[in-house]
Amino acid sequence: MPPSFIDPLSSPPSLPPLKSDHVSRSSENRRFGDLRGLRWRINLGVLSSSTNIDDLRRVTADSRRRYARLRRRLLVEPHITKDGSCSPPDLVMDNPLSQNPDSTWSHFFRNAELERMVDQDLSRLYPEHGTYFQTPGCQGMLRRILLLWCLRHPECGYRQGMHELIAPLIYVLQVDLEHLSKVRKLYEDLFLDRLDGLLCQKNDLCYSFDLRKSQDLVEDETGSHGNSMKVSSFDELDPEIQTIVLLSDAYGAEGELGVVLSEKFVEHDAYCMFDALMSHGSVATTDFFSSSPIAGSLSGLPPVIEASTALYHLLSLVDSSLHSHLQDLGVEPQYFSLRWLRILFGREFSLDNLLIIWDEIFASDNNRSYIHLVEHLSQLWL
Amino acid sequence: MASRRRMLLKVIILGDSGVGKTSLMNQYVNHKFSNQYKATIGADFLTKEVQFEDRLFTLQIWDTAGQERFQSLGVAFYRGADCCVLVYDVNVLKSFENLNHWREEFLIQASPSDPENFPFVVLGNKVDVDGGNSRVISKKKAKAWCASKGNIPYFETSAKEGFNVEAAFQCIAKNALKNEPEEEMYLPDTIDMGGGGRQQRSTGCEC
Repeated sequence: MPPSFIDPLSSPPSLPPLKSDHVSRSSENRRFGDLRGLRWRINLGVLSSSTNIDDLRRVTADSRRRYARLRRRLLVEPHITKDGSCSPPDLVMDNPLSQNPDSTWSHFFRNAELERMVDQDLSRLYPEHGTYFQTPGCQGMLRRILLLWCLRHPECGYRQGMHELIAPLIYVLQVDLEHLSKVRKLYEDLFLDRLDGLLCQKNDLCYSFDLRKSQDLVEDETGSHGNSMKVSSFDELDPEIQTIVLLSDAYGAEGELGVVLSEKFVEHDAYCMFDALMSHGSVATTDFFSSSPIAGSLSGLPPVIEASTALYHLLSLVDSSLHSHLQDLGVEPQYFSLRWLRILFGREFSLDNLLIIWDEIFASDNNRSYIHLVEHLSQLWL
Repeated sequence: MASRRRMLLKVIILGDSGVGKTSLMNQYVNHKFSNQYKATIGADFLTKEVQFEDRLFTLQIWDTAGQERFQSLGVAFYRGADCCVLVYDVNVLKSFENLNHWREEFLIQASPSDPENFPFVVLGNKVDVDGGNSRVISKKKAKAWCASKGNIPYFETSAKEGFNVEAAFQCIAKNALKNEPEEEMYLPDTIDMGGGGRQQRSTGCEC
């Protein structure tokens, strides 16, 4: 018999009660309760956990700058030379038929092959959520992020499943933006006042750009008249709302680049989250895609097999009869756990429930994360 | 008859990413096609009861991710296979060129006792695409390759339209059965084979 229990769950299980240490640690992370994307960025280490909004803005701007630089450097157009000038290329080496692996064209073709692989999987990404993940805008962001990450990490390259690790990251950033726009609608006076006030302080002579901008804002206001809440002072607001307003002020530290929730930088932010998740976040997922043992491994097995073996061992402790039943059937743990570990249970739960699982995974301690993951998983199993 | 454990036949499907391995398996087992299959991560499994010469067998189909490296699933995944199905997309040259790689890697990992005669079946899938106008591998070329590798049976299929899928899997089942050790094939119906048959087979192939 095949291990039928691995079939995607039609009705995903509800989460078991969390352990007390989990809850207390998580409650620290409830600071941005309504902004899951922001919380994840902090938990994954992309943003600092500093309470100072200006610090958050600075780190945000830095991470976006790094991504923009990377994008400029790595996404090459074969007919434009590296420094952007139009000086004639060395045609002996740089021509489309060149066999030289260092030629610009050779890079271009390698990228094209990578792009083909990535596109093949992206076209199959959450097809049932077609409305968002299959939109050209989202697909374009996902494609660039994956290409850049893979070019940046040639030793790993593209591995199937990575696309499903990014998708929820982009999704939560988008949800944050929707939340922001709701708050903006509700408290539009506040957003307006702050901007207007600052505009006046800054310069009496408004530039035409600013004029047009404030004109738009006024129109927005009339459009949604009646829905907005009148608040007499900023300090009366719920602290959560205060934070959202402060995070969205384009005139704070680092200017526009430091607006923490920004539609313009979803791609930048998602890349940073993905990079952190793959390389140095609470779960270094890259290892699970590797088919060779990591340096210093005692077993000499690929990390994903090592982790699967550990999982089986744990199962033998918590449910020995299930463990021996599976062993009798010749089921090795990686037949089902490979997918669990690589895409962090993305196929076993609906997207909504997956986000809750990821909340816990990302909130767990750096060095204990794996054990937690497995414990949590086993709880789900039972 | 009902109380007797049916014999298991293990079939492994290999081939490049996106050639339609999962679709073929689902078309054969569930008679369904969907445009909404996700990329397989690691491996998937389906089973189907098949009847052959008045006996029932359980065909256990192991579907793999096209990009999966052999090391990740472990050798036990491939060992004990009774037949290996190699799939390519008739519209993608590279998927055809890679058949050789898939075949060789399989033989290394599964290390069957008689690699020269181990049953493979080759499927050229997606013949429906663009009315056949976008295909780049001719039937003749595919057959020539199959002939050069010890006369591997060849089928052209469309998982989308269900074309030739049943016939292909009939052949797969038949060849898988042929691969079974003789003494197991002719066991009288009344003997309860229990789980023994399965185990015996897997050790038989590890020598």
